[in-house]
Amino acid sequence: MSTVIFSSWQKEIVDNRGKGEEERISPRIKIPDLFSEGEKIKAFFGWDGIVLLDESVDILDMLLAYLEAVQKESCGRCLPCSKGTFLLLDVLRKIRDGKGKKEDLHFLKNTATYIRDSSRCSIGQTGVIPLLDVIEYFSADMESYIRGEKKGKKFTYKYSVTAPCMNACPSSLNIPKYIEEIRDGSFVESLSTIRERTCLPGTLGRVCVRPCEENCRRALVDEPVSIKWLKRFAADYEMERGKFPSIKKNPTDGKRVAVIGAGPAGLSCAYYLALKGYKVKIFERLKEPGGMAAVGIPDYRLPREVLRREVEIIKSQGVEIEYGVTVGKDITISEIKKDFDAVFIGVGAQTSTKMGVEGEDKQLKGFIPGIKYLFDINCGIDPYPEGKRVVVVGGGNVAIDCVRTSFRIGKTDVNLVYRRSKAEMPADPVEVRDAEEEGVKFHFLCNPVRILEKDGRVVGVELIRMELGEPDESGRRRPVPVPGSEFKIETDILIPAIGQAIDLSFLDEKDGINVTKKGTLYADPDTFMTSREGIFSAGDCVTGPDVLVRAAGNGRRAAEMIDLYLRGLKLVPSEEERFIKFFSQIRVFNREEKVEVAGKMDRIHLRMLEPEKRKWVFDEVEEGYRVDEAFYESMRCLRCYRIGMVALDHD
Amino acid sequence: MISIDIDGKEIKTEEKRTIIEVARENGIYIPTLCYHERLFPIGSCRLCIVEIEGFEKPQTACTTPVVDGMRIVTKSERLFEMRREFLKFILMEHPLDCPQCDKAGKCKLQDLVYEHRIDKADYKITAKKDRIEPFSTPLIRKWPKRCVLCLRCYHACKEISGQGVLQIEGGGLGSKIGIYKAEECISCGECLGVCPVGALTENLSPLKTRPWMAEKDVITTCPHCGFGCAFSLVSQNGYISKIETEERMGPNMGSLCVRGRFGYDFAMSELRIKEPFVRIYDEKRTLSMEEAQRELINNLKEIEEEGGAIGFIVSPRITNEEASLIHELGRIFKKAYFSSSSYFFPYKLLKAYKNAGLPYGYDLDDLARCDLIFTTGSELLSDNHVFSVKIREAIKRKGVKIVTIDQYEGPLSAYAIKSLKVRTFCEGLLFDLVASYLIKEEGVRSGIRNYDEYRKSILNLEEKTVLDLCGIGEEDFKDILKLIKGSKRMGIVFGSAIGEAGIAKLINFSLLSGALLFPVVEQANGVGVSAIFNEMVDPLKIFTDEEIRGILIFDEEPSQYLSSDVIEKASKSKYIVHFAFLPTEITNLANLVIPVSGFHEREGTYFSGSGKIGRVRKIKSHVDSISILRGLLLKLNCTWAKNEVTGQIEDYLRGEGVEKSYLLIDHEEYPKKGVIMASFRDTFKNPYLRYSKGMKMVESDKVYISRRDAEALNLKEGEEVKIESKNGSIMAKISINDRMAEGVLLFKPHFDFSFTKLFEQLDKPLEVKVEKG
Repeated sequence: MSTVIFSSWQKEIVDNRGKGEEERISPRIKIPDLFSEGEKIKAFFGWDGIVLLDESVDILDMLLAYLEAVQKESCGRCLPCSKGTFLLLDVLRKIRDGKGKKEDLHFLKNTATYIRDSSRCSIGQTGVIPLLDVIEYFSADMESYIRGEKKGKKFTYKYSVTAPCMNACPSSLNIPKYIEEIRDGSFVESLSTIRERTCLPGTLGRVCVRPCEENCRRALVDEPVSIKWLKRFAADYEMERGKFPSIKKNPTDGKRVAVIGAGPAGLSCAYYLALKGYKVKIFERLKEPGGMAAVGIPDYRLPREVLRREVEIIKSQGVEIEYGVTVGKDITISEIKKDFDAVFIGVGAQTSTKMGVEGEDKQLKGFIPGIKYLFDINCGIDPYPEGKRVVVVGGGNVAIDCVRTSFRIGKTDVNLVYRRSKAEMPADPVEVRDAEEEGVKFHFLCNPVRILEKDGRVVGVELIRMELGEPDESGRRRPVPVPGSEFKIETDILIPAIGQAIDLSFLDEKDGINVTKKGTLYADPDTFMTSREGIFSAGDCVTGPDVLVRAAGNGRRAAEMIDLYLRGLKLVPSEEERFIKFFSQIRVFNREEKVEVAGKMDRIHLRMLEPEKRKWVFDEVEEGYRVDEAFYESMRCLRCYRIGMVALDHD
Repeated sequence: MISIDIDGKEIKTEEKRTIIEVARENGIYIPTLCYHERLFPIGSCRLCIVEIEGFEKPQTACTTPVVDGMRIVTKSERLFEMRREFLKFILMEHPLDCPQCDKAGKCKLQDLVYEHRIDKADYKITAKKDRIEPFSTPLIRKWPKRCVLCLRCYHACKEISGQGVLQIEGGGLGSKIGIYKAEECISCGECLGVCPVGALTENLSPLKTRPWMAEKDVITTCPHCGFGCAFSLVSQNGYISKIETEERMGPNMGSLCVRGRFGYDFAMSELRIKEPFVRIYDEKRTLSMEEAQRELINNLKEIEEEGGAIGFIVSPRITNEEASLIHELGRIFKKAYFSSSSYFFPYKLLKAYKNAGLPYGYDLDDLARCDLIFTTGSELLSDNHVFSVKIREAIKRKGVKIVTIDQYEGPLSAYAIKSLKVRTFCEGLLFDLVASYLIKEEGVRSGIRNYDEYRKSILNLEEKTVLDLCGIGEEDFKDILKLIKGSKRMGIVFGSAIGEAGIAKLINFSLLSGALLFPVVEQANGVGVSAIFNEMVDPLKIFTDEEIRGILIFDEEPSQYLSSDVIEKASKSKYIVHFAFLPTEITNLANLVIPVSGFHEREGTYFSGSGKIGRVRKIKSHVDSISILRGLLLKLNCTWAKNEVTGQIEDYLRGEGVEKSYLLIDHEEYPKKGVIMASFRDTFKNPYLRYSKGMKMVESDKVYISRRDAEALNLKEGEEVKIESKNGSIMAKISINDRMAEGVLLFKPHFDFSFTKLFEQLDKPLEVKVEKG
């Protein structure tokens, strides 16, 4: 980490100018040394201030470059930003050309303050911050520029536009853009914006865990924008009307790519490769596309038609899917590799983690791992029709899916056992609330110790009470058993749903694909290539059990790398990807920010079926936004676009 | 109720409203360029910034909802300085060409610059000369540098007109309004109407009028369709230079369609008939009005004495006051028959309502109270653009779902949750089928008279047969039923193309289901004229009945809906008088021609399609139809009994005292399967529009055919074809359209009405053959 010379980031002023090494203090913001290989970061100008890592940086030159970027990105939708920032630029250019006057600084400060305080979105609101900070803390330098005395060192500047929500999105959707398109009534355009980054808009619009909404600045005013539901609106608008999108596709160049697994990662990878003109064939073990999205998520959350339709659209781009092929059994990876120019593995995490409880391996009737339970039900099978009482162990979304699905196949007594308390549950709080409404009995702070059996079937489970101790690595307080507090619950079915594991049995040593110690498949985090050339992988089988939106996002990123590979180019992440990484290192969302937006606009919640009606059926529980609701919700977006620029020194 | 404080004034108001709304209501002025009542807050000009207690930054009044206890200051030194600065930003590029700008005197920027005491453009940057850029319609001229990027036009095109013609291009200082989809432009001029400066100007009238030079605003009712739009006629010395609207004007709230906004110039045509004349053989002889009136009376009296009858064909664009005088005139004769193009829809509509015991009329605001709206038999965006504006308003503000059922997927279908292409004259039948499901599956019952007979006839329908006839798939029909099941209040917007039986079927459906009906009347005063002449005959009878030997045609052109062969034949044996503003086909066949008032010369009332009164006002009269008609009545020793006709019409429309009952349909014809059936739209339009230069710029005659039919017949786009029916044949250029229903040939005439040769009766299914020409 290079030492910071000056930082005004988030109003924390660290001024190390003229100080010796030992006197220098470090600001909270941590800027990495390198932007990419051979590119040293010398300064960073952004939405919350400026950071100098080298005293020789020509501040005026960089300021000009930054404001030029602001002018370029200014969308023309508000006066102060589109016209006012041009004026600032004009004055700064005069200063550069030796035509500046001392009064100009006063003018710049005044005008920039007006622009900061009145622009419609953050491009204008934050785009003048570097200028204001320079005038505030580098006034002597500015005066020296005006006199034509100061000359600094010029570097290469690179910039990118981001937003807190965008940067948080594992699929990097251009969220403010698609929301603005909804606000403008351009619903079709909005969906194409979404499709630039994901081919699963209807799916993600329903089941995404929405890290974006946790990084939404509107939450600092009232509640986050319903980014997910707006996405669903755009997708449903097209689906309800039975329309198919017109997608621009590159002409095919004939190269072929095989994709193993038609889950979110595989489908995404296949779709974006097809758009680039490759011939893609997906090998899928099941008879149904969607992978975990299809068989792991119940219909009341994600109706199968939604997923099927998205797959139809993917197929319309020329992607071929062969169902019912088990790779490793029917055909090996190495055999596939021979027929295709590249291979992508996206097999996901399909098995359940063991609980480590007595009786677990006895193959008792009524002992059904969570993933298998959901899988069977989603395939239309009740895995144990006679059993009516259910105990599910776990606190994640799979556990919640298991309990809520149980009512829907006619189970009458449904329990959830979780070793910590409700606040620590990793499941979506909305889902937990829905499950409570539907009558699931929650048993917090207890954990199974023994499965009770009779004649080879489950009859109950012995639990022990837990209490919360010291926080563990995850920051959550560690549950500790309370000795002697054991008790029993009677049940016919016991479902462990404490985690998913990856089944890599389809790999052969000869395939030459390395596996990590964690039991995941090894793929380079930047290039997505496995240890075998030409074979790529992403999704849960690489990351371990993770969210759908990340698997889908990485599937698309892998497609980019496969494209580079097939074109014989060096596998390096794009500048945009590097910026995404860089921005997430310095953090785009500032929870402490005081967002000045007056007036209250409550978030619109979806209408839901009544708990008593919905709990017995697989009908979709939530009803999407109406047009008027989508308009209103879209207007809540603050359009938090912002520009980050780095000055780079090339070795 | 919440309480807020604006500039020290305590105001009680409701939640979910913006500061600017509340301020305006309370007479507190906040400057703005972009805010427009009919649009969602745009927030582009930032001039409406206000200070709110507790916030360091000023907030925009247009986007900020009021919250209880909010304390707002709208005027302060900081706000004034900031607004002043923003206005100077605009002046960086905005040319100061006010002396030659149409908008001068009514320009918002001019007012604001003046108000903020800006005496020079401080930040002038070397601006390029304002180039003329073509706009999406030749009727509007765009001045790019005058644009202040308020974005009203961009949003109005989408939000109000439902089109996506414009887009915001470029970035930063180079941002501008560009053309995105020129082909979607319907020349409605909504963009022109909302432009606060002179960046978009009307490109039609050769005469421009300064606001202070214009004669006082004359707000009148549009003569082009039955929606009842209000607009103001901007004129100077009796010459119309522009049509203008304001956001709260009339039921149209300032919106107009292309005809309303630009279809006025025919009134200034040099060809206007100024004096009466008789035609003796092929020679015209000018008469004085006195002579013409005598000529008319003498001839009609002679016919009467010889035992002949007189037929009257009146325009549905005349005022109720004119119509009632013509009615009086007719009643003087022993045998008189009345007709009009109103006969085809408004007249039959009113009759059907009467027979069903229903009062006629509706409230447009009820559209937004429905949750599901069907539109059928009327392609709203072209037939009645402003009606579709209202529907979109209901979608935008209330999330109403729309289903279109028509022969043609019009632009409104893009907003529809479902759009069905149905064969012509089958629309009503589809609703019968829905009704049978409501009775069978939903157990809907009704105690209204004739229910049992109605039920019997409906339950006989076979789903497959009906859907086949309609050309609709089973799945689509199921979707419709599902939507209806989920709806709490339905509305049906329908037009003339559903035919007479269609009207009855929809009324029945409404009685059964409670659906609200919104008939779209194409003629400006079709309702008023139909109510006044409460017994009308088919115009065909007027021309073909031997007994009728004299025909008085008032401001109407029958060849738009009757075969020209029939008219020509009749003219040989009948005495024809044409009261006309401009010469049309029948003028050349008339024995006597008498001038009438133009739409801008009338004073009186209209009844809109919704049954509401609209005021018709004049700028100046060169010819006054009322005094000509009164002169005739005086000469016939008849005094007109009443001056006030609107009360009578209202009574008629209310139609109390009849028991509600289902309408029984004894005989109806359905289009044959496997053949091409003709469908006609827009045939009742103002015949004088052919003299509008504006309309000629943007409208053309169209005959549409579906792609599948065109392929089967081996026809190419734009190909000249022969269209033949049992009555005659014509040649026409064909337009292949992917959005047409199969088995339908759709006529959308604008200037050429020769297709009338094909049919005998406009509102009956007509089979046609299409072949290469």
